[in-house]
Amino acid sequence: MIKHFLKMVWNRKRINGLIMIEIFFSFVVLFTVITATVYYVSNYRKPLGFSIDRVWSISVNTRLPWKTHMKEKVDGMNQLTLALRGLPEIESIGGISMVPYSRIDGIYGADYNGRPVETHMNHATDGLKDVLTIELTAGRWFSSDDDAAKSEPAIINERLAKDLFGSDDPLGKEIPFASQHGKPRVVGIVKDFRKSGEFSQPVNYMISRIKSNDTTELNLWDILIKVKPGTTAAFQERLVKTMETVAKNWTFDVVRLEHERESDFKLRLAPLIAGGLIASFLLIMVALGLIGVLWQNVSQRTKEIGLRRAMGGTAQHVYRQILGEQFVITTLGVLVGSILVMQVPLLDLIGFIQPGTYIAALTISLILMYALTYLCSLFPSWLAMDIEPAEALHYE
Amino acid sequence: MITLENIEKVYRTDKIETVALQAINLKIREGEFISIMGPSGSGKSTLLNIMGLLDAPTHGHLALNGTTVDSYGDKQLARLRNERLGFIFQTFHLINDLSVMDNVEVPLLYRRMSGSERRKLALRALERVGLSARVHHFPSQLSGGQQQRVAIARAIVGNPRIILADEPTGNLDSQMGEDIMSILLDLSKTEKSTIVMVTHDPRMAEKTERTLRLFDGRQVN
Ligand SMILES: Nc1ncnc2c1ncn2[C@@H]1O[C@H](COP(=O)(O)OP(=O)(O)O)[C@@H](O)[C@H]1O
Ligand SMILES: [Mg+2]
Repeated sequence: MIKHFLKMVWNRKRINGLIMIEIFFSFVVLFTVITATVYYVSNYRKPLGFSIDRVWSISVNTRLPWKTHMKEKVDGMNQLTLALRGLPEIESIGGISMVPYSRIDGIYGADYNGRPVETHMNHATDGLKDVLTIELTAGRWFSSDDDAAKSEPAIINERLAKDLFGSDDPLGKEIPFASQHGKPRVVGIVKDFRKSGEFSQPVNYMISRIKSNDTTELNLWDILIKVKPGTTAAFQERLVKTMETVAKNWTFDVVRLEHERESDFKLRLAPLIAGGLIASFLLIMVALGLIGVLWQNVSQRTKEIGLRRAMGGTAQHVYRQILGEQFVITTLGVLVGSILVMQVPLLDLIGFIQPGTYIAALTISLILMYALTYLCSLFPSWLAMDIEPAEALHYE
Repeated sequence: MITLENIEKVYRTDKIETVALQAINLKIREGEFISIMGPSGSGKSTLLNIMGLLDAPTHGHLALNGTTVDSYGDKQLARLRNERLGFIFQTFHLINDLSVMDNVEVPLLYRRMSGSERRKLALRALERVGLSARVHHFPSQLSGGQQQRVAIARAIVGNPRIILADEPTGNLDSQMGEDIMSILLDLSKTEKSTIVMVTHDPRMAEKTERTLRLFDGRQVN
């Protein structure tokens, strides 16, 4: 029977070809949008590693030239921290070089046992753990104990730990990403630290320590504070005033990380929403096209349908004929579409998306296309079933 | 073979009620070749459709091979049409999107059968009507007479015992009509098929064993 459906579809290829092309295009667009959605959803469901609840960031502009006045800068930062500690609205204070949701990244590569390893890197103060509610799965966060230590301490995420040391215990191990103080040692492990937010791709991550009195390195960092519950936006003004009295020539830019997250979401989701709208539009076009073609099909083919009944086809057979032909057309459209879109993972054109994401997206897209086909074919097929053979064959 | 008992058919539309058939009693024996004649609108096609299980009578009983089919459902009727009956129409009713071969195979699609077996039977039926050289043509590439021969091949491909032909020569010139008629006569003679043929042409009717005349939905004898 499938062979017969194929034959019918092939011999009516002019009208079916158009609808097949429509199905092909909407399938490709649908697949693209669903791949992006699946990618985002799966990222979103992975642990972020920190919480930005009630966290504000203060970016400090010293207005001093690059790599000069180091002592002045470090002293200024320490005095600022001290002054902020006096404010009752502030629960905890920390510092970080690359603030969550910011668009800057430090990426480092090194050879480890003859194998290239890459990691994203960030720098944080001892106080950051409480501000961002960072939980460690092993070891500890930075503390003043590290001041006297021979090697620099580092916190790494589980992904980097696994990448470097496999199943060995990473605590105390030296890691290959050298700073000017030599190779750091792992003191703590976090599940993850996805600085770029919920929708970002999980990457290897390493956090090194910002020492409060280190003037040898350029300590460009932003202050993060966690305010107490119920603190209003009005506090911002007092906060800035307090800081301005401590560091007279410096300027400060205060933002709530919730706002940063919001604009990050908007930026990432906007293309997805646009793609979703295009895909929905195409699907509606396909649905209307399908219903139109099928309807015309049934009304043009009443004689054929009557004839099939006369030759021994049941109403059920007629129903299956209309549905079957449409499924053949859809199958041809999505088959060509699948072959095309599967080139992306096969040729590894977009490296950061996992094969599982493509498979899930392909499955969802196929289900949607077939569901749409089924729904659009249902009514015309019912119409076809209702055709009375005697009447259909009667008049010219 | 076919028994019609007190058959009546009434068509009801919104306003009008048409009595298409009334008090039809008829017994057709196995292997008989019978013609039905009557003016246009006298109920010939309606009668044939009722015998062909394409339409149900409003009243009366119909039996095929001694089995009353009055209570049969769609599936059972379809099966009887498929196995026992072959139809030939005035306007051929070939499927234009299918080749000659595929058209002839249509009745076999509704049977459990392998593709190659279908092919074999279709080819044999086409040989029977002298069209085995045209299997890959499409209906539009054939003359009317050839199209009707394809339709006959399709009607006999499943080896039914009864053939119902509704004005099979009505759309053909006399030479082609003669050809079709001789094929039907040959089927009647060699296969002992039961044939019921509606015709307007008295010369065709003469060649059959018996003629039933209809006028205004009633039998006249
Ligand atoms: N489906 C139908 N609905 C209403 N009236 C019909 C229908 N089919 C046939 N008729 C009517 O029944 C009568 C007999 O029709 P038909 O059997 O086609 O006659 P014939 O084949 O002898 O020309 C006609 O009056 C025709 O108009
Ligand atoms: Mg008629």
